[in-house]
Amino acid sequence: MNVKAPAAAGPRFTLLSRLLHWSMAAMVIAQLFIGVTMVASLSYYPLLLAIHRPLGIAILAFSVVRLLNRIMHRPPPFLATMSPIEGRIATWSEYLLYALFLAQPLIGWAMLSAAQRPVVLYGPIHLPGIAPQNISVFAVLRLCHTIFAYLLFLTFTAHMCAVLFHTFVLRDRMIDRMALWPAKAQRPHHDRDSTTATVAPDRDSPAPSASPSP
Amino acid sequence: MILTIGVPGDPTNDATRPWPSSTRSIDAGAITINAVQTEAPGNGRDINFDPLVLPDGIAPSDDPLLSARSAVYARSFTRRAGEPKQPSAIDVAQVPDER
Repeated sequence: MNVKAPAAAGPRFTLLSRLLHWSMAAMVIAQLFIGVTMVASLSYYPLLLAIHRPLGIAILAFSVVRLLNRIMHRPPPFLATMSPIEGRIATWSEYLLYALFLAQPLIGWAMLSAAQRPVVLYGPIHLPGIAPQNISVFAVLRLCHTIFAYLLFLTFTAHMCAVLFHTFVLRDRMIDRMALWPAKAQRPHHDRDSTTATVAPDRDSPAPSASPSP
Repeated sequence: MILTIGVPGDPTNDATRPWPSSTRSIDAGAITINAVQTEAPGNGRDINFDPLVLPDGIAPSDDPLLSARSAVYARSFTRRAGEPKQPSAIDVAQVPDER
């Protein structure tokens, strides 16, 4: 593997972008799990629903901020390990994620409005309805909410797999661009840390007491 | 309609346990049904009777059946909502009164 390693501490996303990215990641993953658990649970349904609604509105608010941030700041250029086609797919899947982050809470909100259910955020804080009260509209929006949730899960999984593939298989330090932790100093590939190398025996050599030879 | 007045210590989280026979109850009147209607939009067809959607001043108890009913009614409401809407097969206005 003689891939030329990129320069140490390559370009990163701005701190605001990175904070927004990871806070959204935590919220969206939690929301997906709350959503699937909620519809399958009898006793936790009201509790999870009470978390699901304000969390969805929080995701909607963060998405608007993120979209504005994305439009106003050019992200750092793609790594050299990405082909132009891969770069285009990455960009479009990013926009697809943004679109889903915005659409999914709005569909949920409109869905409750169509069913004339109160859109309770917390205690007495309610949101106004954004769709006409119509049970057929509710049915369509409820189905859309499920389909978009699966689409969101698939797009998110593809995004995560692509970054993990780049980081751990191509080893191009892609995740460092978005990391909140400081980037490690660049070391050549296959460089062993000299202190641990002297302490730990070579893994390939047989252990002294293992299976006595016949 | 009989209102049963609970006291502290009455089990509210287990519908299978009866309250003591000494529990005070109030005869609050009688509900009289004097008309019936065919299900239609606006008269109950499109409403989910969720026991956890409550007006101010009424709070849910710790009865686990409330959560279960809320979850199940949400599912049945969703399924009902997705069905094609057509006029009811029975029109009560055309059913002869046999009283």
